[in-house]
Amino acid sequence: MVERRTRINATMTPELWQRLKPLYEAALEAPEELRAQFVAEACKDDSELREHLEALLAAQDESTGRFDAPLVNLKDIFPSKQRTLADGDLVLGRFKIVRILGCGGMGEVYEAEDRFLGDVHIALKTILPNFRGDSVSQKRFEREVLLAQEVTHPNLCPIYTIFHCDDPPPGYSFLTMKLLPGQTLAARLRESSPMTNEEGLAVLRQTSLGIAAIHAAGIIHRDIKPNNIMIDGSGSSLRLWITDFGLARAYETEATVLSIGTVAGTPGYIAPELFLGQLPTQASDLFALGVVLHEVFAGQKPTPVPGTHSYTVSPRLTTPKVPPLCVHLVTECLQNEPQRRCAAFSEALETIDSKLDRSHYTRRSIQFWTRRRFATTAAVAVSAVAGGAWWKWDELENALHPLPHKRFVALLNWPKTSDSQLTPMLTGALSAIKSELSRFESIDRDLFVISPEDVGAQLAETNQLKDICGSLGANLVLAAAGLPDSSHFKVFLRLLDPVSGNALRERTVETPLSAITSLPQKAVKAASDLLSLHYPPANNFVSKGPGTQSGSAFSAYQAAEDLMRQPNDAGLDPAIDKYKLAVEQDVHYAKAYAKLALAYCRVATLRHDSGALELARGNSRLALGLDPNLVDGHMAMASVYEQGGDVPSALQEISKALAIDPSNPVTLVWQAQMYTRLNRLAEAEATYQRILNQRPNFWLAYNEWGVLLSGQGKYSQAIQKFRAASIAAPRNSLAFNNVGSIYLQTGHYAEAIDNFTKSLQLKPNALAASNISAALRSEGRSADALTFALKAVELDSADDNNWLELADCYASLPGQQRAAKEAYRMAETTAERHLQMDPSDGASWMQLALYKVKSGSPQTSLSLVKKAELLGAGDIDSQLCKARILELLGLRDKALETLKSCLVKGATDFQVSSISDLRGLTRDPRYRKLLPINPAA
Amino acid sequence: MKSLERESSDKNSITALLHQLSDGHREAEAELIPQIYGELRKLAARYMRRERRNHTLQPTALVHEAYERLIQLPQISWQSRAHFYATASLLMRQILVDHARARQAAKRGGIQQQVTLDDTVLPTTDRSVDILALHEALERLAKFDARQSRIIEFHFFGGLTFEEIALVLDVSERTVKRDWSMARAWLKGELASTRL
Repeated sequence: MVERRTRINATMTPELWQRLKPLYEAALEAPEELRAQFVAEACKDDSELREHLEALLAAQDESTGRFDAPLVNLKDIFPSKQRTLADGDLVLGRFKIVRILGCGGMGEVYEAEDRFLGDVHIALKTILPNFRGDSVSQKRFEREVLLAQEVTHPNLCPIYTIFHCDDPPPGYSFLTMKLLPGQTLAARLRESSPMTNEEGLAVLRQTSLGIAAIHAAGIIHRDIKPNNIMIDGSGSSLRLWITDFGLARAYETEATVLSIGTVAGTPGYIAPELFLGQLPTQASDLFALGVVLHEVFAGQKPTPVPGTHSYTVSPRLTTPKVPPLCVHLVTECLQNEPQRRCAAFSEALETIDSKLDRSHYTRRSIQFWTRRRFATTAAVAVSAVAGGAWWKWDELENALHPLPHKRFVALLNWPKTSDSQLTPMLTGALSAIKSELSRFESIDRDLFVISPEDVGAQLAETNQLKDICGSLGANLVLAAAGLPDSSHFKVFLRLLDPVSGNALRERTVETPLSAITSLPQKAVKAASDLLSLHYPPANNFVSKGPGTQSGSAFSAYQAAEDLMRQPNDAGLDPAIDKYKLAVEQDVHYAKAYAKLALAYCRVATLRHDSGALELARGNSRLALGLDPNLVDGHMAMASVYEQGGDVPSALQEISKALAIDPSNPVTLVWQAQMYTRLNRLAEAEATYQRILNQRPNFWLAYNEWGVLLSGQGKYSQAIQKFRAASIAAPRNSLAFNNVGSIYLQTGHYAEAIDNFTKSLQLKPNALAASNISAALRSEGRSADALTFALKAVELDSADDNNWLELADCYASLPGQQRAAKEAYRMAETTAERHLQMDPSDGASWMQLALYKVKSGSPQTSLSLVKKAELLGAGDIDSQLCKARILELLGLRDKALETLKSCLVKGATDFQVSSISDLRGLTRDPRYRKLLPINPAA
Repeated sequence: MKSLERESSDKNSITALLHQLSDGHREAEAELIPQIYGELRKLAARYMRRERRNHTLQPTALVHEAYERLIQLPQISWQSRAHFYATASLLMRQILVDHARARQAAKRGGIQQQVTLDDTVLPTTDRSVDILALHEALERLAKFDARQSRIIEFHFFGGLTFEEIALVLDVSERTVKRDWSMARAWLKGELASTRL
């Protein structure tokens, strides 16, 4: 340590310091031996400057100093904690970390994508509890989470589930929760603008309701504070969620629970009795609520009473501007006596719904009023029909109103309502009625149940029952109307005569809202009573429970089902959202996972999206993991296998489904389709026969059978089936397309165009557009055709068939050969992409071979043909394609051989002649000789 | 426990203020100071209590709660963090000076004790510094070179690195090093006479 030094500050001025600075720096840069010389030269005769500079340089030379190491290192106090997870990490192969949202001593909260749920964003909260090696605490914590998960309320942040991840060691637990919008109440309170009374009341109301829901489930929150309350929006539209209920358990260990003086909770929100060693109770939650509400209304915390753990309300709370109700609740919640808090809270709860609701939730009130109004009109309609005497129906209806012998029943949501909560429940009930009652069709040949969505029809308000039934071929209407009140959901089921509009019979089904999941089963029972059917129909009937106990999950599921019923996939995307919501609400809802998987399969089909297929696979596995005997689960898995090209495995899944539920007509249709793909055509036809024996009026089976028959060239039979289907489903584009396809294949171009045009009118679809082009082209109107071919590609550019049609179109137009070649190349690329996804699709390999020839690279074509045939490309279309390839390659003998087998299988001269590449061949006398082979000719 | 709070939605939060600071809005510091002062005082008090010295200071939930109330450090950039440390070092200086003055008053009453900080804060436990003398010297330094005074403050009361200081003061790291060297040399001379 250097001894006493001249104090230089006395004379130091900013000017002098500014002169010193460059000299000090320059001196330091000078070599040490030359430093003295430098100082002497720089300062010349300015002794003051020189003295200061020398002093500074001397001090600088000291090797140790007290200021080299900081006295306070803030980084030790505020460590930049290592995050458990980094952005982009994939946790358990399922959750992809998007970003960190926040952290605390107990863990971190991340935003993550759930890859099993279509990348829905969720909140993922890591838990770093104190229970290393404390399995009792761990179990208790998990139990608490499971308990909390069961509580669903609009003002509680939904907890999805708890997971454990072993990587990185020693591992950690995490919770998945709904990703909430907005900010914490704590953040809002820190803002400079105070909360309005309206907002305060919204917080009071919603926090109280949330806490009431937690307490009703027997859970104590243990850590109510503004940081655990999320809010979104402002004014009367403020929404609020309580988060982290029960999680405080995670931070308790056996030791801390037992040790005296350890108090759970956050300072400032801890009830006085907890400091006396008492355990947390619902009343201690209410104390914390009192503090929170005090902050909200007074803008500050209550005043601590010195020397105690008690608080009193501050004068800022008791101003006239704060509603007396709030002052009372806050004052009582801050009382030392737990009983007083509880009494005030339950008193407040009673007023909350009436008083606060009306004055501050106008939107809700209107909604409520609308439902009331609907209920009133429904009730009026009912009593007009029923004459106001319900009991009479039960006694007399059968005698007074015998039902017709033939009961072709249209199931309708009638009178039509668009209430977003009511409709899904009603259509859910109707759907259950349809699927269960259709089982009676096998034993009661005069029964048929059908609903508008079977035929893709939407009910317009102006529709007459008579007209609806006409289009459905029904002579009875089973009309369902709903009426919710605050505690119950009532469904009126009425059997109506569509001509007179009279009600023939009537039943009311009533379910408490808490047991809403039992509604469909009750509706099925009532409907079978109405139709004098003995329920259940058979021993092998598989009782399908709702699959969930959660009312909110069930409602979301029903909404999804309702959306899926929209014709032509219009509701597919919103339905997926609803299914996701359903499984968010109840993570054990196997049926919802299965249906979500099926919806993703549909996306994979429609959009050629392999990601969707993976989602479908993940969700199918989840469904079957939760319930191995779930028919829908096996169906979903079968669908995934089918999409992936693994037909044998798909068939196996369907067998499992049929073993569980042997008479399920939908499963049977799938089985028939599988047989078709496996070329086991006799078995496929037998399955359709079996289905139609069971449900003689089931149009979907006719349609599928028609497809099967047309694939075998049995066109006259196929067209019969399609006509049967299209009569039952006059507004479904599918039936028109199929009828059109047959006409196209049999050379009835005008009829074909007519049917495809109808299909296009119902829904723009690539198939119809492409086929219109093919028909026009066959008629020699290639220029007209081009418009439709282009439209088809525009509607679905991922289907190589559309590119093929466009290419063929160009090829038949003068001067468009380059465009044609380009389109063939696009077809090639598209087919290759498809084959990457499904390399077992023989027909596609065959088409790829054709595209190769057409786009000018025929070298690999023959080996591709071979590959296609090994993969079962034996259908007529594939074989015609093969003939085309062979002809283009100049192998006419082999082309003729192939055509011969096509004709044996049922191909027509029309089909062959309509392929321009085969025109030369059709003029070959050897071809003409083959023609009489066609059995249909 | 913190939950689901998003930075952007929290306009007046410390995090948001720090973002403003690192975007060059100097006025944010004025708002920042009262927000962190109270918390920092409590933390400093916790660390400075003598009776704590022989206890192992566990990062208890309570302490974490305080951190968390103060700031969500992991989710802000290192630039913002530097601004936070800079502001906190200013406050830490005030707190320690207040504390030292209180001690001095007590000393006059007969109690012999110097400011002693907890291990958690101090890199070396045997150091004792005359906070008041340093404080006064820094005040003098500020009169003819405010930047050098702040550099010492950042480093000594906050532990900021040269890189962080350069960022906060918006000068080159080289400038910070030169300033620090000169100010340190000057301070040594200043304090040598009042060594404790």
